Amino acid sequence: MRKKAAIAGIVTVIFALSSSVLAVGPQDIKWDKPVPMVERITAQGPVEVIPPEYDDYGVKISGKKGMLKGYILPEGWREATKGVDKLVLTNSGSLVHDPATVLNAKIFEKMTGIHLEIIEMKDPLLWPKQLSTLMAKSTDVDVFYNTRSMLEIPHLSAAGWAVPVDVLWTPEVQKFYPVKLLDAIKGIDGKFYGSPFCLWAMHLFYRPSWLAQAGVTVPLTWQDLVTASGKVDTWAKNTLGPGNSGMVYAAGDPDLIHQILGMLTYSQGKRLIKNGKFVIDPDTWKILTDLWLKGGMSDSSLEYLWSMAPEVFAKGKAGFTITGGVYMNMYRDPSFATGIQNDWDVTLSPGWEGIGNRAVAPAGNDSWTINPYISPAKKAAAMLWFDYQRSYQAQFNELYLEGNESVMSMVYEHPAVQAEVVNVDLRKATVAAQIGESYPPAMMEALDMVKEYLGKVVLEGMDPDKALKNLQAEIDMMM
Amino acid sequence: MTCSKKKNMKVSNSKYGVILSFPGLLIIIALVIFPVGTLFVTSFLRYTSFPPIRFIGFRNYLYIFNDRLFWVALKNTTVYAAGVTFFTFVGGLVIALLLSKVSKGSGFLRSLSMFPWAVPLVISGFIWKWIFNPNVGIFSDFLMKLGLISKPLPVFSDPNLAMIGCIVADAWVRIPFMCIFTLAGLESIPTELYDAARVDGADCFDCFRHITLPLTKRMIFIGLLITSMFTFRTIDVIFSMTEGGPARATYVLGYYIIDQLWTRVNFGTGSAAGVVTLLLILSFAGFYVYLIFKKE
Repeated sequence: MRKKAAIAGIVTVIFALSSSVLAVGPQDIKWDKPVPMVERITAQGPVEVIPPEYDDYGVKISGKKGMLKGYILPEGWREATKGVDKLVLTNSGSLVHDPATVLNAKIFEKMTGIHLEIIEMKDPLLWPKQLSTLMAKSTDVDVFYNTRSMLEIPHLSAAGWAVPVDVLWTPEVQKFYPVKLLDAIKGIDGKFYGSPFCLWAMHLFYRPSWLAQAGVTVPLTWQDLVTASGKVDTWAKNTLGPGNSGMVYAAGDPDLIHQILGMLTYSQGKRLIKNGKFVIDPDTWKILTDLWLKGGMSDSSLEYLWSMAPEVFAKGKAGFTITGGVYMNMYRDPSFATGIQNDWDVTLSPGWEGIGNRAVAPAGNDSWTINPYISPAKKAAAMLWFDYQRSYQAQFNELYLEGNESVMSMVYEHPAVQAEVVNVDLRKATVAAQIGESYPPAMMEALDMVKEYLGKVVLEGMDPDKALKNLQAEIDMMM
Repeated sequence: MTCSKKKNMKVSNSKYGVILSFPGLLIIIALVIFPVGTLFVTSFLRYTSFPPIRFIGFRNYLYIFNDRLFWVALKNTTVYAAGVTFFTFVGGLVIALLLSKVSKGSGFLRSLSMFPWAVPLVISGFIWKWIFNPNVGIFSDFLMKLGLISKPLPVFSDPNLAMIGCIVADAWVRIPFMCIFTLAGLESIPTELYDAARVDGADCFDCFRHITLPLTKRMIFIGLLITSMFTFRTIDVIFSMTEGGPARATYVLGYYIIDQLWTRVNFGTGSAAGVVTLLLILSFAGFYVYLIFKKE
């Protein structure tokens, strides 16, 4: 009996040891082979017409153009991802609006044989679903989409709910990406946890005919924007009816509240975070509230999420909006932008009177993070996807096909981008002007407070100075 | 059959009953007792995304009772629940009274009146969000065409209108449920009572006040209890219509709990808020039940 038990024990130990030795995972991938990582991810291919076999996820992209080759797979990827034929990812919104995601997913599948099962979700549900999945230690989702990396990654890294991916971000590779962007994907321990998917860079869109008829010029400063939007609002309501506004903005979305606070603060040469705490600059608050109280910002803007305000502008209901560069492509689509065809233009976001600093904004990027509870082989597959997604080829497709800002700066120099992407110089200037800061964990809650007090000033007539005082006191208590 | 045989059957029947109840008991334990137990335990923990998880006593409860937003949410929840219950009661009563008078086509009309009940609350929120939309919604357009208003109603950018809009969207779904309860009560009233009252000179209002209401009171109370309990904890309509805005005008307890969990990423305070909500609903329900049985 004892002999049998001893043999069973020895066999168990040998099995356990061999399992750990034989287990595959990210450590089996040789990221600097067959060529150094930098060469692999910056390799380019020709721009080709997309053939029909790339149509998938119910989205037709064939007939359009994209970069179908270029990226070089690292050695050892096959062994590292053995047995993985599928990765499950979440995505922000419908893939109909993400043709570049569809193309890149199909290219990845053709290269590796790993199918990306993409779950389309409404933005407000992405974070709660991610938290629920991770708290349950579920392996149902392999890769999560994070729309607010700099706000969410600190929580994920602290709780051990994301896999560090430092191996992908060597110092040589980091040189090809904006420094402030890289800060946004780091955790509280300084390690990299996310992989940037695209950049969100804010621009001022306007209706030239509305400005001309209202007797205003394109505003270069925030103070000018308050005045101009007010005049346009008066003209629009008197001429076109009460359903029209001088300006719309997605002030119902805390992430966009963060963007406009950042733009207003950074254009003064100041910062949002002082001594580790979120401090609202009084001049920033004044202009923000003046956009509603003295300017032409619609009250409805307080409830608009990130895609609603640009849509209202697209239907011809507003004179100004500030939103991401992806809308430079979308507003050219007559089936989407039904109300503004041949009557819209775009420029840099305003600067501060007497200082300048146009186009500055928080370095906002969407990124992916890896579920720490999935198998090592799936982690390897996920890291392979990250490696591809941040490559020149994938980022070219994001910018060229869809109009998302590229996280890799040199993509803007490609001849096809220079020739065919609208407003390339404008985009480059905006991306270059982005500023990154490290946020404390209570930042999400603080932005919700800002949204609340902004509503109190605009809708309930609260004195702006009193609102700022109460707001700052609550934020200080929180932090 | 002898007495001893009958006695044996009695004992084996009760054991058999216990065995048959066991699966149901397991389900109750898994779906009710375990989650509620976990909720209670977590409410006493410091449990955030930042480790460690540790026992902190009643500190989570102290936090939420000292939090301004908790009281904002409680006030809004009370207003919301009262509003929905009121509209549900009035709407259900009116429709039930009308349906009780109809004889021809009553089956079809009753089925039609049940239609909103089939709509999930979230979908109701989306439907009414479009109806109330100031730019493209039919509600403002209709009122402007009637000449009652000169510009679209800013339902979602006015704190008071936003609350009313959410109440309407929620009550619309619950009215059929209340109607069923009231109709059941109405149909149990003997018609002779109304005949006798008319002989004594009672008019419609007198009949309603002295016969209909008292005799349907119990069913109405039960309907109101269930409606108010469900409304107190619901966020479906608010999630799809206003997301707690504008300026937290429709920020209810359910949203407060969501914020603790998803924005603050604090599962301890979220659980504490959940426990407080549960206790509020139970005390509310207990009071209702006391009222119902006291009258008996």
